[in-house]
Amino acid sequence: MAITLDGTLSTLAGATTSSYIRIEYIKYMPYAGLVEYNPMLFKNETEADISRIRYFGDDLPTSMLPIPHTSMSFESGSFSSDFELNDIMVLPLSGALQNVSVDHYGIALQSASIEVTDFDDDGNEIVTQEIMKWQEFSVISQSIEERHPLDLSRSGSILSQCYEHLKNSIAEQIPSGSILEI
Amino acid sequence: MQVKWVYENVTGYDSFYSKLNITLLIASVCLWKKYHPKHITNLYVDNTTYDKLILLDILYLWDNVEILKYADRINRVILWAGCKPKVISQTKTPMLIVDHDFLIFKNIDEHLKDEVIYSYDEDMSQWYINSDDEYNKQLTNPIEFVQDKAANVSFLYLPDVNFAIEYGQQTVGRLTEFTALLGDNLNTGYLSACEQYELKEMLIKSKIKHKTLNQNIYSCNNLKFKEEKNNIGIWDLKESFLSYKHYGVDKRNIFDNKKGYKYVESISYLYRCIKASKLMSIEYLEDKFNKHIKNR
Repeated sequence: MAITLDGTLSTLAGATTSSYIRIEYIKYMPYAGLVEYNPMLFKNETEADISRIRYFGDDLPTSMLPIPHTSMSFESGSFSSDFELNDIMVLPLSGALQNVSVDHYGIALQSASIEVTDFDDDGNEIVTQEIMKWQEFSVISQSIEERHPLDLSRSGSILSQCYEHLKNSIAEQIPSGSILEI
Repeated sequence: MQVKWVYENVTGYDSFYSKLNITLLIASVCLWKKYHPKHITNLYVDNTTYDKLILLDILYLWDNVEILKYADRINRVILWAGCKPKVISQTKTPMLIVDHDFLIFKNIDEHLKDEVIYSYDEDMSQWYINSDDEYNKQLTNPIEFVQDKAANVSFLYLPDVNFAIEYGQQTVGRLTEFTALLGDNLNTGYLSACEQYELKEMLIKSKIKHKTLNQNIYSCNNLKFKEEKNNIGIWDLKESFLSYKHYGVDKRNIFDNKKGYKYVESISYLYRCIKASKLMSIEYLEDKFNKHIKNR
């Protein structure tokens, strides 16, 4: 899965008509409420292939094949524009603000009454009540607050959603017809 | 039945002898003798403690008193129960070993048959090292961590002498190795793992029949018994609270009057336990405390 641009992309490594943009890694971070991914740009599919080690122990590439995401421009027919691509892109996992009941946790001292063996002044066994105490990490208060709910039940692969997000981001700069998914 | 207590001044300081801990020790043996008058009671102490208990005039409470003698290089300030497995490893008869903060309130002879018995199962927690511990992997015979419970040994009945010796020797060996390996990085998690976790693991791996006094599992995180039960316990929670009391971590709270625990009330309760045994005068004991115990 990758994206190629139908047109001429001028880069620090020269112009290319077979640009190849691949997402290298994805970080799924529900605690931060987002998915983070990084797109990498190559001059063509061959260089993208070479840059990826397939077997443990393979020789490392002799040079860095990914192209820096700086000073780029794109031309296709009569269309011409600067082109920008972030190193790290973010896909939010959270939805619109809504009122929710939020639990606040803390250490609470709990207690319960138990029956224990005791002795009276004459040494006779008697059963008395004793308070048993312990600490527990528990909900100590609740409040209604505005929060962004986390969407953890995304259907389909996270990778394909990241590519969709990448395509939409690029489409804000160049005509969507020039963005081809391969 | 040979019943043993081990009490060692691991710090070397006189402040080790607090009124609370000595009263617990006395209450422990007094109640034991009240409910088990035919048992033979044995106390193992270091030289300093022997001298202190002579001053308090309480050594008569035990049938036999022995001075601890061993040369194992165990850091006993941190691995403070290190002398207990040594005593176990030297046993020549079936035995029962009881902590100084364990009180019994009924006769348990009917349960002392051919099965190992210990106080209760407890879950693994930060009190224990785990299978990732690098120092454990360096042991001659590392703990394997094949299950997830530990045996609380505040009460431990060992009917099989050979098993007792094997368990005691293995524990002493590991504590000695950990002392050499860790130096200043030693913590009580290693003691808990060697003494309590490993016992449970040995019993399961060797398919040795065993029981617990309490059916419920103790949560080390919450410091209370959980609803979860094992299927080898003798008493349910209600019966357990009436049949025995293990002070454990409560001692510190009582000592500091923290979390609702009250020192004065606790001492009064222990005095009632001692008085009920009719083995000692509380007035006499108080007088001795006033003369020879500086720590409350």
